Amino acid sequence: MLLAAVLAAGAGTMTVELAAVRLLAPWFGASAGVWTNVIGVVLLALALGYLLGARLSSGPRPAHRLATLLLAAAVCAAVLPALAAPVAKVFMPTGVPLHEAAELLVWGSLAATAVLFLPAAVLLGAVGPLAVEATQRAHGGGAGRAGGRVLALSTVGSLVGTFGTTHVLIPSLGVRATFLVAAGALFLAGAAVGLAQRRAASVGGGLVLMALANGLAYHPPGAREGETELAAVDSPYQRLRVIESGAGDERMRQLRVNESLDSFQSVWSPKAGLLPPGHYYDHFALPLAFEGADGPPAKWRVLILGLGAGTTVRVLEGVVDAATQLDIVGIEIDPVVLALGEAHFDLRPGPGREYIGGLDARVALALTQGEFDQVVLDAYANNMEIPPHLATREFFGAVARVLRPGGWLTANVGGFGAEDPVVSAVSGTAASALGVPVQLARVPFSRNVTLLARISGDVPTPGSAGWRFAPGLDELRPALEVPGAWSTVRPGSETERREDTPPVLTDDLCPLDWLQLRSIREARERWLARS
Amino acid sequence: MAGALLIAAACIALASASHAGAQDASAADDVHARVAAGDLVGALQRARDVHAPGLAARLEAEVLWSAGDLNGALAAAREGLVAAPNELALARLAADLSLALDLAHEARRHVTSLARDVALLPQGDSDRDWWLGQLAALESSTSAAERALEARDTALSRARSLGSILIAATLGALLVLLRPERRA
Repeated sequence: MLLAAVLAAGAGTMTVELAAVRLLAPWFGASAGVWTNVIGVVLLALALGYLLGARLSSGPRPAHRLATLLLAAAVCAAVLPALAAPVAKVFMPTGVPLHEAAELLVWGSLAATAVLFLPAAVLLGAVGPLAVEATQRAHGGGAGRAGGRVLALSTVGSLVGTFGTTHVLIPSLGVRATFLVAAGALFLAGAAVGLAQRRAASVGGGLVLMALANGLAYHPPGAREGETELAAVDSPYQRLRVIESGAGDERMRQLRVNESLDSFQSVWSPKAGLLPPGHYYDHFALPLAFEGADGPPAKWRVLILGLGAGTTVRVLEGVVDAATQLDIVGIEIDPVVLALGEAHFDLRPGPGREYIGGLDARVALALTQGEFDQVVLDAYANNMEIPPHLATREFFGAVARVLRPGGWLTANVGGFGAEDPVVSAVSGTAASALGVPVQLARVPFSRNVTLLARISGDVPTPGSAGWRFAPGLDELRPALEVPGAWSTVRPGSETERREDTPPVLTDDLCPLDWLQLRSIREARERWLARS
Repeated sequence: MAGALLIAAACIALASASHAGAQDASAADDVHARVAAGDLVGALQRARDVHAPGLAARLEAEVLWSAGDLNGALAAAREGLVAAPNELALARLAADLSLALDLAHEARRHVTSLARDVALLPQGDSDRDWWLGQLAALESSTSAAERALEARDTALSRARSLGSILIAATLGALLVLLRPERRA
């Protein structure tokens, strides 16, 4: 019974730890910084719990204390979903824009994690030493024998909790129910030990508290005033919401991820084609605009890495000439995003429209056969993080291999201008890997920059010979002709960058997390308050 | 003779200023027409040819704003206010741009400056009433932005303090429990 309780406790502990980030994600996201805070706080609390358990184990009835601790941990785990919103709001007010959020995401998630998870994790940490002592007293033998058995079963339980949480509980039950399952496992473990120790009163009390906790609601952020939430779902990767605003032909839908702040992952408007100002997707039509200036191409093959819910597809389908056969292969790591795309964003697979979910973009690139006219790179994790393995010299080299001579790389890079640390690092790396100048185009009314490069060719810029647009795409031209709208990054210019930035991002050294944090911290000085 | 020459010079200067004013008004229309036609580069060049520095800066900022370069537009407005600090429309534009870029403190500076200049307009002037209405709207938006900024600063301060205290307390408890237990 004791060892079964230890197994259940191990499963419950890992479930709480893994689900902790998902519980906080609607306010603080799930970036590496948030993960580090959660893991760090839980480890610290476990350490304290181990010492506490060691002190408690010297009493006359360690099994009694074990039962009490497990029941208390169960109640703590059960109330966590209800406490998440009120605690998170203390450290993350509403309406914070992305460029103000860097410090809040780091410190706010640390404080919220400490408030919410320290008590439960300390209690769970104390389980191990008490279980070892109780086992050793019940079965005899040395501390090492008892400790080894307890640790082995606890670790097996942790494995069950780890895989079960990610692949079963969160996708099928959601975050709140996952915590209740963890609480239930801990309660059953505590009840089993307690009843064996004739502690029915404690078990009864725990049952009452669990029932009360079960009645409390979980309130993640919903739609803002003037918006309607069409869908909300927890995928294995993130919390996803489809939000609609406006009416009639002015309707817009956004796919928002986790904390979203003022960002969006995908966008839909009733009419396919170019979007209202402020959306970088329109720039993905620039290659078609330039190549179609003297007549539409017969065929145009596009590989989209980071398909999302299909915004780029909708833009291209709306602007492509009727004489052009448009073939698209889209890769999206989260299959739930594809499902939402089909349900709410008019994403329609079919002939010439191959959409693959559940596959990492780098892996897809390695498996891709044939040549494309254009590769669109729009892969982001956690709203603002470019996955490091999609920004390295090796990655851009792989992109070059699937592009025909004269083919185009177009990438969305979130950052505050061409001198932004992230924009500078990614564009310099792309230029170095491709061996061609990379052009950076400012996206109007946006924090974003579009990266354009061409294999064995030049990207037209204002005043150059190729600066002509296909009919129907000429409305992109005016904003792009304004002085300062373009920046050029040449191969070899990486050595001119700051000393504390690696010259070229590689699979071995790619500190994008650090660069992105620096980007947001420096945004105010570098881009917003130029004086 | 000297007096006549002075009077003649003054008349020429006045006529030039009036002509420049008429030219500027025409240029403003030209700039707006070019923006509407999508000729933003031509509109910028035309704006920079305007004689009055305040108007030139305002037109340039408006063109850059229509091109989606809010940062550039604010920079142009700031430069214009250095040359023409009492240009009401330019101050209003700078305040609007500051709010769009979430720069509450800068918006407050422009609103304060604008309020000072509007107060100097003649009482009963219809322009004065209009500007007072504009100021009220700007004041409301700026106050909201300042409150949001204060909320963020408070939340950050709170998070730093409480997070640090809880981590320190946990570490302290660890150290206490690490001490050997006293045995009777």
